[in-house]
Amino acid sequence: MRRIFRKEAFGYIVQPPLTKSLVYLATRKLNLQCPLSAPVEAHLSVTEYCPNQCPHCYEASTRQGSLRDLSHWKGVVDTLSSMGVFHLALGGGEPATVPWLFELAEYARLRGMVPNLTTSGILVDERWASRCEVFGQVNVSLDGPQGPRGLHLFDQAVRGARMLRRFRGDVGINCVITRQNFPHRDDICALARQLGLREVELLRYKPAGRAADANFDACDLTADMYASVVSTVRRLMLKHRLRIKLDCSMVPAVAMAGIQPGIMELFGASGCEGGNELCAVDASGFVRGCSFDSARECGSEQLRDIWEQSAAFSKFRKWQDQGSAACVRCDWFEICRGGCHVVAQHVTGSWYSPDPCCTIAKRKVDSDCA
Amino acid sequence: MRIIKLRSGFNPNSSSLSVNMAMLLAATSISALGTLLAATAARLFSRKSQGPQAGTHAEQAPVK
Repeated sequence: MRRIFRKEAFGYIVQPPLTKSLVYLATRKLNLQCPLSAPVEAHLSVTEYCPNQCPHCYEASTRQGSLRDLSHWKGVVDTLSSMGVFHLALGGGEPATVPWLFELAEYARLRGMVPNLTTSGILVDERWASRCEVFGQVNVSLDGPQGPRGLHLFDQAVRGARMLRRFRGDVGINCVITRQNFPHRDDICALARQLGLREVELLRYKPAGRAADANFDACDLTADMYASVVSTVRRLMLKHRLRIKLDCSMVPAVAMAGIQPGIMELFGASGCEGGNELCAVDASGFVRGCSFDSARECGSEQLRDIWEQSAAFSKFRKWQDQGSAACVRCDWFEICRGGCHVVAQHVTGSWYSPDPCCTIAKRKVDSDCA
Repeated sequence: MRIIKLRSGFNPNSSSLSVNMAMLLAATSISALGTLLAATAARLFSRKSQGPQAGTHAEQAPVK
């Protein structure tokens, strides 16, 4: 049976039946400095193997990628379940190449967690798609022909999404938004609608894995594009009648649109939640605060100790103490938390620098210099 | 006991949390509408409690 609630220092996290939501109930004042007792979601990169070898892959997956056995992953699931994790995000590599994927997903269900899946869609056939009912949500990575994955994978992803849609209602698209495919965002949403999909998640291009070696500046959105993210989403939702989501690294763009901090907080639109609401276990069994961060701890068997003591996690939790002067004076700081630290580290060399996309911080820095 | 956060949906891709923009933008619109209604109500109420404004017909001297 699915986990219904978990006790926390501030009160309870409740997962109402038949929903995909979590409700945070406070019985006392929430101490933001105090990390949660466990992540609410864990990303399991179940294999390093991927036949696609995309140049921007944040996991740097290859055709030589390794795969640990099912018993190892069942052990990870046991640990996460005992800690009170609600959701698992199963990815890779290409998880469709993993022979025991469905067995692991069913095991996660037995342990009270909801397994979710992302696939490139290239190996999806009728038999495979028909077994995907075990997942809470299935998303296909689909960036459009102009996106980082290119035309060849785009066609196969469309075929995979169409096949999945035949067997389940809740199929979405994960779309990595870059400077190249941003002008084609309407086409991607129109395609999602045409395929009968309900959800499009817009993900920021992260400088991790092979993408850290690629030219980040050439792929990252321009300042004008970041400034128009919220108005674009509003327009796309109304025009295509789709559920559109942004990943947490896009939160500075939401703040830049002037959405009230209180509303953002209530609806969980918070910035970096690595090492707090999130953790990741990679294909080699290392644990990270976020899938996009290179700092990792060995090994997943000691996850509970790592969660409480590791430097790889504690750096995510020091945003209040270490935040830059520009961020600390910002009305959105408690929500945005400095934005994506992985991007900040890559661009500026400092984990706690303001997110480079943030024009609010940029204005504060400029006014200090003037 | 009070609700401090509603998290709707999870990103199955990676360890990044999703922001449900429909809820966020709907709440923003409702909040803006609420602010507008409150401001309108406050303006109407203050006008009523101040009585007729200077220069209105009621304040003009009666015609003999």
